[in-house]
Amino acid sequence: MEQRDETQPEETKKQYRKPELFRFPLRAEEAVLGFCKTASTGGPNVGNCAIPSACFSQGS
Amino acid sequence: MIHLSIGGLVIALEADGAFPLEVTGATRRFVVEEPAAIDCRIRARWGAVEPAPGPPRFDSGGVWKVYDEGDGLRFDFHSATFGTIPYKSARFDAGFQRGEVTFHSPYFQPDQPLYPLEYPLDEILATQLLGRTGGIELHAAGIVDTDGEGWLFAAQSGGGKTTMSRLWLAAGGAVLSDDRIIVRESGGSIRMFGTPWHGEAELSVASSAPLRGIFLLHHGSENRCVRVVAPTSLAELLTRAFPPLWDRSSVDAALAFLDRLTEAVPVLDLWFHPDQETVAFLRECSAEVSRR
Repeated sequence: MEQRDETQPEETKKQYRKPELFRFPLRAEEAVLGFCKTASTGGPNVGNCAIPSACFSQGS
Repeated sequence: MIHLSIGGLVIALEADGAFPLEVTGATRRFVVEEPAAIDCRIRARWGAVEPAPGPPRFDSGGVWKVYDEGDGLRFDFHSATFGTIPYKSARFDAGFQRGEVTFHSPYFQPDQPLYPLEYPLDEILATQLLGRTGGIELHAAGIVDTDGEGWLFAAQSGGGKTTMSRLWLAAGGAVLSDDRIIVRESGGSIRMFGTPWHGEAELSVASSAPLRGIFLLHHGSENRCVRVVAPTSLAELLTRAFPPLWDRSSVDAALAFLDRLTEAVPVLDLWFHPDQETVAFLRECSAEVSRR
């Protein structure tokens, strides 16, 4: 039975690079669309806060 | 029936009986005449919302939670203003082709105009549809320069999107949104679409433009731009995007799209100091990007 030739010439082998871990900051409260824009949280501006809704709060 | 077209996603809204359906605010600009194809049909109604029977699939930690219900999903929206029963509950089939939004009638006046997709349901629905049709919503300002070319300025809140938008407006550019942009493939190229979800400047246009480049905004003491290569560019955009994290297949689709996007469109870090020089600097930077 034919087999694939698993050997490779040295010059075509990729040089091993140790994996590196990078951290990228994510603001979870923004990413999950859970909040409205206030002084302390991010979110889109909701112009009309007179209608009871997710973005209604006293003083918003 | 009311039809909305946001980012090329077409949503049909209708209501039962005397339900006071109304499209409000910037979303009015995205109302269209009857389209050829509809991505999602939604019916709004009054009802008595019952609490979901089991634990949520995902809890946003804010106003909404999502539950598995049959083959589809149920999104419940709470506000401390009302109480423990969700003030609104939205059910969708597995393909997000049909949905029903129920408002808990004891919480509302019967003639009080209501927009069934009021935030965050509109964006949740958009991200779910993009996960199935291709594309992504980015936390970015979308600018169309006077030559018709589109540029995105992506940042988390407070990163300078609205500031940048105002600079471009003063220089003759157009702003598709100063906070949220939908990016999709169209006719073999990448386009950016305005959305009704704006920032403090309330800039929002129902239009689109070819996307030529993406800037990742940073505050700085001077203007400087540096190319960002893959896979860093993909990771950076992911932190400035809204993939539906509770839906595995949609997250896979979002990552695949971002991979294609960062291959097709240059991404640059931009440190900027907002002044009269900023737009001229960016036009030089953009011209350099276009030459490559």
